[in-house]
Amino acid sequence: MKHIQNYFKTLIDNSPLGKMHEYAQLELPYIIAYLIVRVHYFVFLYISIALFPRWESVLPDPTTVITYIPPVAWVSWVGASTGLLLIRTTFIVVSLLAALIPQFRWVRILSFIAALEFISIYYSLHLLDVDWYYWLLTAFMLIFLPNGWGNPSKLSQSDRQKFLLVFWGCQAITLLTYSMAGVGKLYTGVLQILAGESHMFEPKAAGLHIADRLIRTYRSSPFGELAVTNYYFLWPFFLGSVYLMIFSFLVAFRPRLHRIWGLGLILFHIGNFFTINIGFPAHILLNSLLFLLSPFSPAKFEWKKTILELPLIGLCIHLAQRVIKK
Amino acid sequence: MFNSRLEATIKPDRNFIKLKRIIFCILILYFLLGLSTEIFLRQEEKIFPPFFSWFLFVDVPNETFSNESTILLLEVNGQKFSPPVPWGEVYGHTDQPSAARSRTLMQRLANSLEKKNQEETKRLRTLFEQRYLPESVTYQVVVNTYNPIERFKTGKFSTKILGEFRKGQ
Repeated sequence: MKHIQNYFKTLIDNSPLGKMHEYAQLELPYIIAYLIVRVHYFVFLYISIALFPRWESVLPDPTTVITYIPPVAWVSWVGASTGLLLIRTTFIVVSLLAALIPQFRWVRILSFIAALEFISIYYSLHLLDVDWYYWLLTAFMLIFLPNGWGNPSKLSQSDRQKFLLVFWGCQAITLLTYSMAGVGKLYTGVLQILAGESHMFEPKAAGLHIADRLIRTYRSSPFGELAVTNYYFLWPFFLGSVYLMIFSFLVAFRPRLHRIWGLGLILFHIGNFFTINIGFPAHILLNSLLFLLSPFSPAKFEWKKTILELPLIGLCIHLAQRVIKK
Repeated sequence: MFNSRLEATIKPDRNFIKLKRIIFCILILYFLLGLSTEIFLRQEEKIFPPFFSWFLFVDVPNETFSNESTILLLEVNGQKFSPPVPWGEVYGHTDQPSAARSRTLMQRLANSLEKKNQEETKRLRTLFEQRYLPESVTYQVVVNTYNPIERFKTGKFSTKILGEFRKGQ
C-alpha cells in the first residue's frame, strides 16, 4: 500500500500538477497556453461555417422522420428548419464572441453550450460523428479558466498557475478518452479470448478490422488491400496503438512524453485514414495543439530520459538495470 | 530550469487547490459516466454527446461468422435487376449508400425481422424508405455471413434473405 502511495505521490510531484508554480514563473509556457486557448476558439468560429458549408445541404425532406438526440430534443417542437437556423446562428455569433473576448466566463459557458447544440444537430441531421466530441470536452474544461486573462502581461502569477492548471486539465481529459478506448479494447479482447473468438492479440486482428470495415462501408482506401494481404506487418503497429491508447492518461503526468505521445496519436489517426478511411481530423488538430506544442514539455529533447519515462518500457528497463547491477 | 528563489514566493493558494480538486472530479466523473453509457444505454444511445465511453472498434470481427445486414434492390421504377443490386452499388437510386446512418438502420431492420417484431419492422421500413429510397423500389433485406479477409480477397460470402418488400406496401 505504501509503495502505491509513494508511486502516486512521486507521479504527481514530478508532473505539471506538482510543478505548476514553477511553470508559472516562466513566460513561455503561459504564452503558449494562452495562444492555444485563443486558437481553440478561432477553430470553433471556423467550424461554425465550415462543417455545413452550404445551408440547404443538411435540411432534410420535410416528410422525413428525424430522431433528435437529447441535447437537441427541443428541435422536434420547432422543426428542423427553425432549429437549424437557431442553432447555427447562435453558434456563429457565440463563436465570434469567443474569438474576440474569451476571457469572460459567461462567453466560454455560452461557447460550450452552443458547440454542444451544434455538434448534436450535426449528429441528428447529417452524420454520426464523434470526432468533434473531443473539442466539447476541452471547451467544457476551459470554462474554469481564471478571470482577467484578457491582457496576458497583467495576469498575476497565481492566476497563471490556474490558467496552466486548466490547460493541463484539457490535456488530461483528452488523453483520458484514449485510455478509455484502450481499456475497452483490452476488456473486449479478454472477453473474446475467453469466448474462443477472433481477438486483438492475434496477428490477423488488424487485417480483420480493415477488411470488415471496407466491406461494410463499401469503400476503398489507399493501403487497405496491402494491409489486409500483409496483415503480419501490421500486427506490431496494431499492438503499439493499443499500448499508446491504454497508457495515454498516465502521459498527462509525464510532460517529457507529451510531444512524442501527441505525435504517436496523430500517426495512429493518419494510419487509420490510410487503411480504414477514418481520419478523425478534429482529433489530429487538437492533439497537435495540445501536445506537439505542449507548454509543459522540456525545451530540450533527450532520448534516454524520454525512453526511461515510457510507461511499462521504462519500468522494464529500470528492472533490467537493477538485475544487471546485482 | 526554474528559479528556486522565486519558487518559494509563489505557493499554490487555496483557490488553486480547489480548482485542482474540481479538475480531478471532472476527470473521474467523465470516466465513470462515460463507461456507464456502455453498460446502461442501448446501442443507438451510446454515442450521444457529451458522455461517451470511446469504446470504438473494440470487437475484432469474427473470422468465421462476421455478419453484415444489408439491402438488395430487385426493381427500381419498373426496371428489374438480375442479379439484384447490392446496397453499396446503388448510386443513382439513392444519395448516400455509404452513410453510417443507413447501415445502422439496415442493421436494426434486419434485427427486427429476425425477431419477427412486425410493429418495429414497419416503423423502421418507413424510416428507411423515406430517407434512403426515394423511388419506387422492390428490395430484399438480407444478412451476409463471411470471413472478412477471405471476402475481401475473393468476394466469397453466404446470404440469408430475411424479407422482400415494395416501398410503401
